[in-house]
Amino acid sequence: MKRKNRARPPRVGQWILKKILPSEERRYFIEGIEERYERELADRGRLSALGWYLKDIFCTIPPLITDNFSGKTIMIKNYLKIVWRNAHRQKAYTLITLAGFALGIACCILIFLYVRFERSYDDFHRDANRIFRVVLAWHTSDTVNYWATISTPAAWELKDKYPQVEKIVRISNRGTQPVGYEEKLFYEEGCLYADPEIFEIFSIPAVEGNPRAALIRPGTAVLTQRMAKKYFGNKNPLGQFIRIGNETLEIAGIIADPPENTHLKYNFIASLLSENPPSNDSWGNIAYHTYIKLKTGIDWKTFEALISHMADPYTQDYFKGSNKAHIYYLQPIQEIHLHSNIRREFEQPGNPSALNILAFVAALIFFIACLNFINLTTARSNRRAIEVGVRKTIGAQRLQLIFQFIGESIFLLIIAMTAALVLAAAAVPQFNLLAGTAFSPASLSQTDLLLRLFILMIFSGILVGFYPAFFLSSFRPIFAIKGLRHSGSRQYSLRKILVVCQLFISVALIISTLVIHKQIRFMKNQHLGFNKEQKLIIPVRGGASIRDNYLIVKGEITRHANIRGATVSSSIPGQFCRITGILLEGEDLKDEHRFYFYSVDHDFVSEYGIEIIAGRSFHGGKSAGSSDGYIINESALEELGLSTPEDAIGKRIIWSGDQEIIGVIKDFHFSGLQTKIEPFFLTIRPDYRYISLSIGPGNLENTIKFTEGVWNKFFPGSIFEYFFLDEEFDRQYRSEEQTARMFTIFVTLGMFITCLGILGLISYSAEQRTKEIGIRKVLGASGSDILVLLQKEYFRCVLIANLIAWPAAYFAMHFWLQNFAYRVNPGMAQFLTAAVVTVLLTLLTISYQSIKAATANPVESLRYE
Amino acid sequence: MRVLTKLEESVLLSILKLKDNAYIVSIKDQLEGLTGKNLSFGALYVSLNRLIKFGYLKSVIGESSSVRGGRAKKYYELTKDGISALKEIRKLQNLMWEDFDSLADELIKT
Repeated sequence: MKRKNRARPPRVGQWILKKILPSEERRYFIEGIEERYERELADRGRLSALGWYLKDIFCTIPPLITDNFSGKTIMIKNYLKIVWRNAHRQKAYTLITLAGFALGIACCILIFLYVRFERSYDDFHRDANRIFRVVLAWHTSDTVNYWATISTPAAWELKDKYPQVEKIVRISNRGTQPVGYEEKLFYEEGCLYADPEIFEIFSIPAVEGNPRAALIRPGTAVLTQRMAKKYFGNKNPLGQFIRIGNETLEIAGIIADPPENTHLKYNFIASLLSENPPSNDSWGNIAYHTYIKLKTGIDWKTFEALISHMADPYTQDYFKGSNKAHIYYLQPIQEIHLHSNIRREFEQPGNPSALNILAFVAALIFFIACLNFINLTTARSNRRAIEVGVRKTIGAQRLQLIFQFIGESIFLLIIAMTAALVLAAAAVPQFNLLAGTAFSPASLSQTDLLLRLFILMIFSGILVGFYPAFFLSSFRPIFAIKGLRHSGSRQYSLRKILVVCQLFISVALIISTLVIHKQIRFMKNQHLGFNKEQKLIIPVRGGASIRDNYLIVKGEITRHANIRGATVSSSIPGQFCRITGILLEGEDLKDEHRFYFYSVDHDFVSEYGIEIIAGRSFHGGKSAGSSDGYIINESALEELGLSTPEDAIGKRIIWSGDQEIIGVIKDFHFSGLQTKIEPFFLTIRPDYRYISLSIGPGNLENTIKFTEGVWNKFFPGSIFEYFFLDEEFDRQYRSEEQTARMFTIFVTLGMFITCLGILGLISYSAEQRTKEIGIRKVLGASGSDILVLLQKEYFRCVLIANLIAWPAAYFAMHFWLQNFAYRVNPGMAQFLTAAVVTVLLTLLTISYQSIKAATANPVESLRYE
Repeated sequence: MRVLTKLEESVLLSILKLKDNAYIVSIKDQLEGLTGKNLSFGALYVSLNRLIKFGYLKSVIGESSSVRGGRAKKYYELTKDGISALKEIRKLQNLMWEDFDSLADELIKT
């Protein structure tokens, strides 16, 4: 048809026109414009036709709109005028109302962004709902350990025997590795080895080269744009060789940087074929993060049940006679970030309960802001009684008035929302610091956020406008105009209830914040069973090995006057701790106990100040470096079924070789206080990954320089790193601290909004009671009597709020504290502090207005009419 | 008589001149051609609507033609009221302009 070939004017313009024109006219009008557009196009070309079109549309829309609404807009204009006049007449009042609400909404916007970000992890992958991680539950005699990794045979089993699996990829996570190119050498996180299918399962865009084809060959790697820039600058990295760990790999492609919201943060992906040494093919060698993509239409729950025992035919010989088993599970990829916290996670998982708490706090703040709004508008409503009376006399229907007032609140809320968006945008950098996110003010302009906000404003406008609307529209015109107002006692008590509600929420939040801080303080200051302070830690990894010459290195380092001692170990408190299965002599294989352990040297126990409660520590001197037994902790006694520490001495433990237990140490916290202390042993084995130095109070900089000098002498070409044990250990509480910081800020804001509301109310009631106060003063009341009269209402509110908030906060905090194996009790101090804080803040808020009212000259106040 | 704006007056005259070819595009073309000024579709449309409301114009849906892909146009015609309104305007105008020449000359001379 001819129409199809015709050049059409821009669709947007036509769409707008369609929307504003009455339907029966639309067609002729739009066709007219099209006709002109075509001619313009034919005569003068595309650009000027477009210019003509835009100009015409621009001039067309305003007259069309005014024409559309002429006659209907008069009342709306009038309503807007009244809103403006009221706002203008009571500037401070309006400002308080809007500012309180805007502040509350701004908090909610930021929290919403954060929560949505945390929940959006990995949902950008194509077919994300078909991608799963296969994880393993390793059942031993009495415990189950969940691992994020599975073995190669398990992966191949899935690939070969199950047609439901469309694609499968194994990823070996090497974590942080030294990466070198020419003279550049840095530690880099996110070094992965993977099968080429990684690019078919995950949406990782290629920037240069063909990454998938690249990983099919051994000895190749791809790297992210960021890394390409860091190591190669403007050079083309393709075909260059880069050193990752101990291997030299050819760069065969560049991929896009991983987005913030993925649990799989990669910098380098090397071909798994180049993995060195080749992987050990046993079902027990669980080394690979394995992801599968199911075919469409497969129910993953059913499939999970199908594969859960797939290892049984292969492992039953090994596990025979015990109740041990390998059971496989699937994790939907989008849930990994928030709902999976098992061994060998790629990164610290998110904290869903913290998110829920935050969302809850946001809801509470929003609630406070709404109450504020209701309170302030009803307080003002008497002023509008005359307006209502006049409108009714002229013939306004009640429904019309209800719509007017609800419309008015929606209008005001939308103004507040605009202010809130500006506030939130201004607060984004601060919020990023607080939450460790990377939002930009532009993230506020997403359509769905704005749309939701808009709907929320309309909804809450109806909600907060509802009461004032019904209340105001119920005025009888004759009384309203005569000034015979409702006595307001009913309304007054409603306002008090609302204030109590606000204060209740604030008090409960303040108590919670204080308890959270107390718990964090407790975790940081609690004696951990070892010396946390003045410990400088040097991690030994990639390239450097202190296996053979650690005694020489140690001797060299401890020559410095400020270094009091040194010890080496496989792990240190607060870091990943290995776990193993051991047997006590005479026990059967099925009784295997799961123990955490450190490989240490003979100085470890004394250097870390760990108390020995039975037996002895390792021997030093000549035999140093060779194992002479095991040292277990108190918790291990129970696990092994031993009643006293002394009983343990001399018992033999079967683990790589069998040796005696030579000592028992007091429990110390080798991980954070969230978790219970588990059974644990120390052994001497040359598997050293950390050097711990006890340093004196002397010159720190000098000490570190000296150590670095020694390091470089022994391990040229590897990177010297250091950190302090106490700082690193406390990083385990980061999530709690972050929650606490956010809580503090939002609670402060919530309290501030509440105070704004109280301020609005006190100024209103002081004004309302001007005459009453005047008469009381004439009759002999003193200034302080008046002060008490005005203030006691608010104190009563604060008291009631406190009384109901205490049990609520107690239960909420009791529940929260269950997350911690070692916890504080919410003490009286927190409750009293919250009470004192609220009383003081309320006093501060109301004092100016009430003092002003109390000291006013009765002559002035009685003359005001 | 209702008060017409200058634009509405021109629109009426233009429709008269266009006889049976007065639809929105041709009216716009003619007015733009005469005055040399841009006239937006919206403004024209609003005037046309007002004139219909006053009863000075009526609209007729034309036959479909192949020119616009087989879609019909909406043509405008003057009503009797429209004609008399124009006549009235004309009369008023004439009255007001009657002694313009002589008065203008007089003013220039002094």
